[in-house]
Amino acid sequence: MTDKKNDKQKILIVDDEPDITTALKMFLEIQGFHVDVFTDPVYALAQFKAGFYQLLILDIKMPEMNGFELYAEIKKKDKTVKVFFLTALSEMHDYDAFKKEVFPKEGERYFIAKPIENEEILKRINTVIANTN
Amino acid sequence: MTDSKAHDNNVRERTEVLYGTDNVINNELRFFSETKIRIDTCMDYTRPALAIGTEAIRKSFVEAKRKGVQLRYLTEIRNDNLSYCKQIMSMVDEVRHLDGIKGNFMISESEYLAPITSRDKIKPADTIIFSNIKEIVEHQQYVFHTFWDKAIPAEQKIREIEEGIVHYDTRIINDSQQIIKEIHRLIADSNELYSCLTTGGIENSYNHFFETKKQLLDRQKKGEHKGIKVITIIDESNKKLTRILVGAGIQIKHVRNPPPISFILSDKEIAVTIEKNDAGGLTQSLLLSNEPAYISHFLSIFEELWKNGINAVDRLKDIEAGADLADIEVIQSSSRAGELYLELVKNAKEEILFIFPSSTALIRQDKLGAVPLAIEAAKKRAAKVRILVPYNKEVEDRIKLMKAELGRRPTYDADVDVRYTEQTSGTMATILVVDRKVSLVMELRDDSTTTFDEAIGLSTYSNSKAGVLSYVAIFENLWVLTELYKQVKEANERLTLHDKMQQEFINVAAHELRTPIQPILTTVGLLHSKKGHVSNQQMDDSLEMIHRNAQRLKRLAEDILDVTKIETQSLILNKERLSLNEIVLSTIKDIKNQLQDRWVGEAQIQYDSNGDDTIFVEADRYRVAQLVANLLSNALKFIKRYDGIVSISIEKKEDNAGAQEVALVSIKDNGTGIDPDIFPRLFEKFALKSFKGTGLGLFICRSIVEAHGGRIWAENNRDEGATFHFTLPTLQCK
Repeated sequence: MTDKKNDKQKILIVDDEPDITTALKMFLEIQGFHVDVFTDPVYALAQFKAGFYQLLILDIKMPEMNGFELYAEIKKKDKTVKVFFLTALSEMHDYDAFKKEVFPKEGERYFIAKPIENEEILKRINTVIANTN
Repeated sequence: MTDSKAHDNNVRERTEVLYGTDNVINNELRFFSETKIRIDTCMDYTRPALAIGTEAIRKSFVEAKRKGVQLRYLTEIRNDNLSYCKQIMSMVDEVRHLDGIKGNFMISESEYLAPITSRDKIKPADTIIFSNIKEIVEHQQYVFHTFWDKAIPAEQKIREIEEGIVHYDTRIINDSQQIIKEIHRLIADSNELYSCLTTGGIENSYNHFFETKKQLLDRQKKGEHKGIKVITIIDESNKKLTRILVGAGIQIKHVRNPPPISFILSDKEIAVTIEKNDAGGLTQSLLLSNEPAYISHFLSIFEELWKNGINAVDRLKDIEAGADLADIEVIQSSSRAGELYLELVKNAKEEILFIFPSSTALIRQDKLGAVPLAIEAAKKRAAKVRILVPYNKEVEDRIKLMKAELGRRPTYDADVDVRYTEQTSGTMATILVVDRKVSLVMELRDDSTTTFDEAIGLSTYSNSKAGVLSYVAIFENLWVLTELYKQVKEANERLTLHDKMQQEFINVAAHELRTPIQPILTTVGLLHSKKGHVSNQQMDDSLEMIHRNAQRLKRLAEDILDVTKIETQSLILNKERLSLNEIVLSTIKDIKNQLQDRWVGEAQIQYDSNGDDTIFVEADRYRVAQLVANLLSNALKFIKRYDGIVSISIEKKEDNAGAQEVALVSIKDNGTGIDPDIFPRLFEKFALKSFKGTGLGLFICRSIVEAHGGRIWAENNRDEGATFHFTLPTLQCK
């Protein structure tokens, strides 16, 4: 069991909207990923296991801590984990400065605009981690 | 009678008066024959004829000349004695002419002889005065010499007479009778007449010279005279006489400031009145001249005044209309302008208006004292002071100081109103209007200087009604304009704020729309392609999720639509008689159904009808349900705990004014309470603080409540959580 688990790519999804996390978890698990979800970023940070996850999918606009802040905190613990930010796009202008600081060169590569179709999100995830299916 | 005087000499010194023509002649003859050295003769214009006509006299002259006696003859040479004078000239050594010579006498080296003519000047003398008293002779010699020196050679006079050469002459006349005579003569001799009169001149002219002038006017009618022109001050005191003169045909013009001395000139001569106030009283003298230079000088003065004068007819009209005081003055000196400025402000009674071209101008004039004076006037006489000045911080502070100064004296109710214009108010002058009667416009020459005198150039004073009211119109327009600017600015700011809020709403709405779409998309996609991999439970959960989110989208769409309706005032209420309790209960049921396993956990909804189960209102069922549902779900949103309770209660109450009975619905929660920051905006649109929801819910609630004639408000509970209240008017029927 644990072996099988260890083979899988592990994704951590944090979004304050439970339906989103539930749906994504359902889909991605069928695809063969191990998915953990949190709706509370503070709690998610507290529970974070460094080195465990290959990919983070983070909502940006969350109460108490936004996606960028969460990522910055996680980065302190785990330098190699990759990240995608889920964005409704309308809040991006608020985070322009942060975006420039954190991703001065790459920028757009890390943003997933929601709503996003299943094939699309799979494609994006596969660019950074392979799935074992 | 004879007077004698004892003398060293043999000859007895005496003065005698001898009568009878024979005596006169004999004495004259004796005089001539006895004289050895010289005879000086002074005769009026009548005597040359007699001197030549009387054979004996004529012969005496010739004889004396032959004897080598120096003969000098002084008389007035005129047209009518010209030939006689010419003959005398051949008989004596020298003849001279002096105008207006009177009195006849002859002097030798030792004797004085004066024939006295009777009233009838043409006849020979019948009385003669003789004297050989040394003092008398010397005295008369002195007199003769004085005349002789003033006289002109006979040849010159004769030439003048014969060739018509005018002798240029300037003289001063002191005798008042003579003055009048000379002026009459000047007038009568003229072919054109101009006069410039000071105060009282018109009366003078009327009293003394009107008749003479009327003759000129007659000549004018015949084309023989060019007319009479008069310049003077026309006012109340002389308006009647002016009318009479104008009526007679004299052209008169009015000037405000005629020169200080009166003069009258014709084509030939000029007469200037000089008045002196001596110890002995007022004396008048007349300067009379026919020098062409003087005439042209005064003529040019006259013409310059005439050019700028106001026609008497118009002037009289103005006087009758009471508009005679209209006055416009250009003031060159800035210090004089400053004085006038202060004086006008000091004497203001009702209203002072200022337009300053720059903020430094106000500060400068504050230093000058003008602005404080205005405020004094405002205080003392309850004058209204209004100021228009371009804005800058320093000016605002200065004004604040002034108003504070006023505030310290509460007994005087001063009315000082300041409005700020845009920096270029357009005027480059300070405009002052006092009591809507006078204006002073002071041109700004140099705004960079600190004192009034240096900054101001030309100034214009006016009390002309039309002019002053024009400035008032300018002021009022600018005054209103500043208000408009302010309103436009504020509207702009509101618009910008509104636009900002609109944008935020769009952002949030977009987010809210996208959020429920995501799970629908994911789940449907999943079911579509991976149906085989999905368990039954997962299938049920997925369908449930789709349903839920679709409903969420529906609600959002409806909310946005509602807000649009409210905004465009097209919200329609379908009112009917409803039981409020029933609506509340059914709404609670609906929500409970929706909640189920939501993250809020075990939150309860309690209902309390306060013992009255049927409170009726006239309302729109759908909207009231929406209202209650909104408030309930709001309350639930604020609850983050697992023992959350929302209690909703209804009771009947009198509203605040006691005018109406209302149903009061209160929804209380024990959640986190309302953030004090958003309290003021709680029921506004886009009062977004929570990251869930559209921020429209409470706005829609308020709109619904108010559309029904009720009120809605909220408060934080003393212990924890918040309570929302709303009222609806009740229906009284059973």
